[in-house]
Amino acid sequence: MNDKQNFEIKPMGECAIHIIFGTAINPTIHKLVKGMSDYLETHTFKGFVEYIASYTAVTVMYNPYVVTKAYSLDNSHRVYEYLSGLLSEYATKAGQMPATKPDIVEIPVCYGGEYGPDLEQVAEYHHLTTEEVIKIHSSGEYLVYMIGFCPGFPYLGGLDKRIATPRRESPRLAIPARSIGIAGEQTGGYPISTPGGWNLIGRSAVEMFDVKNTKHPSLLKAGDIVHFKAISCEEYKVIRGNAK
Amino acid sequence: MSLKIMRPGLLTTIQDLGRYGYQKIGVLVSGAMDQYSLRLANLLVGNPERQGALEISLTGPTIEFTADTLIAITGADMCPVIDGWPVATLRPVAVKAGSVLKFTGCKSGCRAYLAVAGGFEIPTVMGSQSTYLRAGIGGLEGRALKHGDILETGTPNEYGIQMSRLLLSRGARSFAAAHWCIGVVHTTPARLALPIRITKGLQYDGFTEKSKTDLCTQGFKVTTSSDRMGYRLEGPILKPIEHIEMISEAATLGTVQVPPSGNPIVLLADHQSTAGYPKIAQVSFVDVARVAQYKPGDTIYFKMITNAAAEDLYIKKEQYMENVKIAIAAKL
Amino acid sequence: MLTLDEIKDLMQSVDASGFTTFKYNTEDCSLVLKKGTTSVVTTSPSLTIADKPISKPATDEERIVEITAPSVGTFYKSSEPGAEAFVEVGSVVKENTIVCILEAMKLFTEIEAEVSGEIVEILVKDGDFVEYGQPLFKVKTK
Repeated sequence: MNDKQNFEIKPMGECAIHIIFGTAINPTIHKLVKGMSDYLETHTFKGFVEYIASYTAVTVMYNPYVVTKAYSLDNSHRVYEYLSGLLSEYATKAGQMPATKPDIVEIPVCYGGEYGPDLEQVAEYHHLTTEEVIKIHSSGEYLVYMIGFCPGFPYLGGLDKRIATPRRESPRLAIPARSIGIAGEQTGGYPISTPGGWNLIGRSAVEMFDVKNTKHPSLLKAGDIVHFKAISCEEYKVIRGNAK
Repeated sequence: MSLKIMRPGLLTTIQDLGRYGYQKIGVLVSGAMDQYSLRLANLLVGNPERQGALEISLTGPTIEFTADTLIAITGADMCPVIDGWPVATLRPVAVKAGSVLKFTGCKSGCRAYLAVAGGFEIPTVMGSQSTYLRAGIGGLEGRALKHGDILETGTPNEYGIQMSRLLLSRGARSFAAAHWCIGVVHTTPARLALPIRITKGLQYDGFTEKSKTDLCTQGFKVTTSSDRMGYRLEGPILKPIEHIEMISEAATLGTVQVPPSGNPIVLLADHQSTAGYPKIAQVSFVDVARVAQYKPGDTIYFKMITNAAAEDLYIKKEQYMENVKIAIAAKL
Repeated sequence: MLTLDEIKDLMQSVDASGFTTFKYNTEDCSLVLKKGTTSVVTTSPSLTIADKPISKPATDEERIVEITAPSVGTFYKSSEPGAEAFVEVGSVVKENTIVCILEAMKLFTEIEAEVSGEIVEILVKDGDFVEYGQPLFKVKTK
């Protein structure tokens, strides 16, 4: 990392550029990532396709052909060189933007049993009881670092190290929708059924993604604060109503 | 004008070039696995390149055309037949009302594309007609085609109308194919034997020297667990120098990631926007279409190239597409 | 060298005529057309016409035809593990009888016989990975 700038730029193939703001999950680096994302919402370039924000980086995808034509580039001035210069300027300016105030969202979760098949394994791994794991998980305050992996899937930070558990060796081919899981230092929820390698500890009673909600299809967005509330199976069934 | 789906085939879905701009809320891009074949099929019937078309995998559908329709079939050689007669691919074909199209076998490649002049009357969801199967978004009700489906087609543009008229003017029983076709098919066995060109992934340096060597000298078999999300490969085990517990970061089309089992996964059209396994390589964009034409049981070889070379390949391919577009337009 | 369209024209003419067999020979091409079969045969080296992957009959009165795989995949003889097999040796099949399932990329296709007759041999085992064109069943037809 350069002294003068708090980011590093790397190519990710020939159609994407990775702008790295740090190597750890923490609110300070998140602020830089969020700042860059917010800046890209209003400042792009010809050939820009979209960006993905992750814990520590913003990845910008582009069409090299459109960029070449739009900026009259040739062999001596390659697309990557041109865009890394441009994005470097953007990242510097983004770092000077003011931070935005977060929304707070409470998610009711039924832990363990059929909804959390890996809860016992997680407890065993840490020599804790399942009740202790539930108490630790549901008393945390979590920052939504990013939405990714599948529609509405939140990557949450703030997981207590006492229950941080490595990803499963082989990913499951199908995880039930709304499952809440742990992988390494991360926790989050699966809004839809998808393959994945996380350890599943419970299930959310509310939808995390609804395509019919055209204004806000995703329950969460990057920058939100999340609290999990432990509920019983009965309460879970009441909230779900006729839905599964 | 419509297509009646009599038999759906293994996996037939509506795809265009993908759903862009929503990866930040985790909505995948989806779209055609072999984008070049989809674009060419559209150009052959006068459609915009990104129009929705049918992506047909391994076992093709049986389709009845209720009206005269201009179509084009590109991609894998799946032996299309209308009323018993073989249908030439890679060119516009005017099909007469009442004809029934079947695909009798997948000889080479894995995915074929069927475009109709005017496209399909399917609503766009978040700007795209592509089907994202796992989330049930887009395409026809968010799912693969099934028996009994009726697909309404749109109105062909001037090119589609004129080309159809031109072909049918020579007289035809069930259909009339153009005498010309586009060349350079990357689904032939000879072309599929060429290595897939890759660039270094973000965590490439974290892998052992043996893994780096094996990656570009040994074959990797496409397993039967492969699908639109990614191809799970089996070959020499790829190992990092020491365990890399990754922090989830962006994944893009063609990312080659390596889970702890050491068997790499090539991420394809329905890839997730972020991934947690170390990335050893990136398939060059132009070769993603070729990966998509491998079938379970096939063996893939990789070849490392520089980012600059990958950029050149991309640009040259786009120049080729522009030239083909002009050549097709001139055929009227 | 005959073009595809010329061959098609010839086929239509033969079809419309009373001839059942038509032979055409030149230096570089030999063409035989027989009415009543579903295959077109040409030895012109630069033309390939897709054939339905069913092999030729053995005798006049009864023929053994093969049902072949229309794509790669894993062969399953029943709809799910433990269920009854779709067909056994001795089963009578019609053209739309489902004879097996091919699984590929985690998806399943039901394969129809496309011929009528009696299953005389099953050539693959449950769970075998099969290639395009690989014979799966032998069927005795009339």
